[in-house]
Amino acid sequence: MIVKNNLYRMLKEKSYLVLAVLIIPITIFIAVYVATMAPTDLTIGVIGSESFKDTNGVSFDKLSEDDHSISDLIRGKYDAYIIEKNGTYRVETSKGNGLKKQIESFLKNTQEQKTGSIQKVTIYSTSLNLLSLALMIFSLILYKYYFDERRGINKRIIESTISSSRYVLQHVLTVFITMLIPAVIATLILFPLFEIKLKFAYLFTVSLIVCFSSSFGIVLSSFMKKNQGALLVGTMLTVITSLLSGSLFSIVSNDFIDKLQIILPQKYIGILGQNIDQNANLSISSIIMIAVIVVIFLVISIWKNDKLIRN
Amino acid sequence: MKTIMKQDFLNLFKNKPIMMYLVVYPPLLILVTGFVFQNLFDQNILSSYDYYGVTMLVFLTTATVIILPELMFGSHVKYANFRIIYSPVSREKMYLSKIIVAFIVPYILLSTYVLIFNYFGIVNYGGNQVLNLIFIEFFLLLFSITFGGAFCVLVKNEDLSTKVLNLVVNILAAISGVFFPIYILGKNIAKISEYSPISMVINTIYEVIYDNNFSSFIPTIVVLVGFSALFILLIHINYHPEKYGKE
Repeated sequence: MIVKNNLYRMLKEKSYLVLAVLIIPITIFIAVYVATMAPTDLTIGVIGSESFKDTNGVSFDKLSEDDHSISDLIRGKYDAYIIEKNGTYRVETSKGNGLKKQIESFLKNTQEQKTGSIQKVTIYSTSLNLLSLALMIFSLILYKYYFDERRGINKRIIESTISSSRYVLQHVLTVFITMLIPAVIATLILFPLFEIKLKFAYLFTVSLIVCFSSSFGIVLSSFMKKNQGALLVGTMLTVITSLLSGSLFSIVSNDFIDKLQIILPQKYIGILGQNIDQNANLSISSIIMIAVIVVIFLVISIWKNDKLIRN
Repeated sequence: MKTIMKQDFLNLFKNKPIMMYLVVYPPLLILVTGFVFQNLFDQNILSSYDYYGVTMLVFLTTATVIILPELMFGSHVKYANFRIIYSPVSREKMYLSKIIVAFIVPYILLSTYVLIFNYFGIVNYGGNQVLNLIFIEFFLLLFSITFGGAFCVLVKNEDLSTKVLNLVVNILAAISGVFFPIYILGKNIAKISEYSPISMVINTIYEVIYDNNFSSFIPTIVVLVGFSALFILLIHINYHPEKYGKE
């Protein structure tokens, strides 16, 4: 009933529908595009020596003394500098020690050395992680109608025969549908375009992400007074938890972070993505963990809404 | 104009989510990213705190695009604006006072963090030359604030525009040079991104801090000021508060 009404309202006020139809496919497009990007060659700036020739995976740029700028190094224009003075080489890089040692041993051997390790497939996991970042924020936007009803309509609805749990679940369902349909259609269209194999497991994980994002949205919305506020706080939480989960970018590992990651759903989404990349079966425990988090979120928001309406 | 500004200051301070965004988020984000990405950097040249301190500052500054729409058309001021337009106050004073408020508060807060982090050596914002960075931050913030306002008056829907801006800023941040160097995405994309004002600012900041190279300092500021002037012009033409109270 509420689902029908909400969808009807969405059709009437087209801007939100347009947003869903535009932004979700664009996000998937960007996510896939970034994920299919081939890892680039190492670029090394050479100062004061002419003896380097481009080899497999490494290209050398000859630079003069004046071009030796540290900001280029930091921005990643050059991965490292090799500076020759009186026959000795000095390596300068801003990236971790691994690269420096690699280049130093390369200089010692002057044999061709493969810098790129075995190329890993990460298309599915990268795109899933980016998608979950975007959908978590986007679901907060879609809870507009929930906030519109806060002014009193919600009380009227609850005083009818609908229980507060059904009320909350119907709002979640609306958001779920509005995000799932564009996401699935966009995946079905875009994946063949990029010549990526479409997998059922991928679509399943997408729907799991949509499910999680909609429950994340409702739990935050229940605790905030205004949609704007929920959006801002939600963005902060999303960005920080995504960083900490380490699924999008590899991060430092220590005890504290390892323990923290147990409760971060993005971690499990990352694991599922890796499973799809490696053609393995989806890890059941990750699916269960995400499901548990979704249920906890739903229970909290039902409880909170019940309290809100009673007062 | 003073009264409008005073009221807007109060409105902004009372807006808990935005204040949280400005007070809690910056140090949290800089410390978390710095801590989490320690391994990616060789400490000799710069640490992860130095790298992410700068990029996150730029990211947070761009994220302030949402403040001006909230002050111009947010739900608390919609009806207050009606009263103002009936009083003998010029339209310029109205939006200028909002721009000034939306600018001053984040600028003071962010600059304070820059000074604190720099003073305690957590992030290298240029050591003794930290004022250069605060100077360029001034123009970047002006750019972001006026951009938010201009976008909002063009879309004509405060609610929608802040949401879209927020989402777009975050997605762009995730895929552009804020969380990792843009050159990972290949040289062509890096070339394109060099023309965006955001990466111009990041480059300029690094050049100033690490190479003491001021060659792009003035051009970057000119570009930012140019855009800001354009955005203020758009706001001037399109800001009609009487059109925003229908709902």
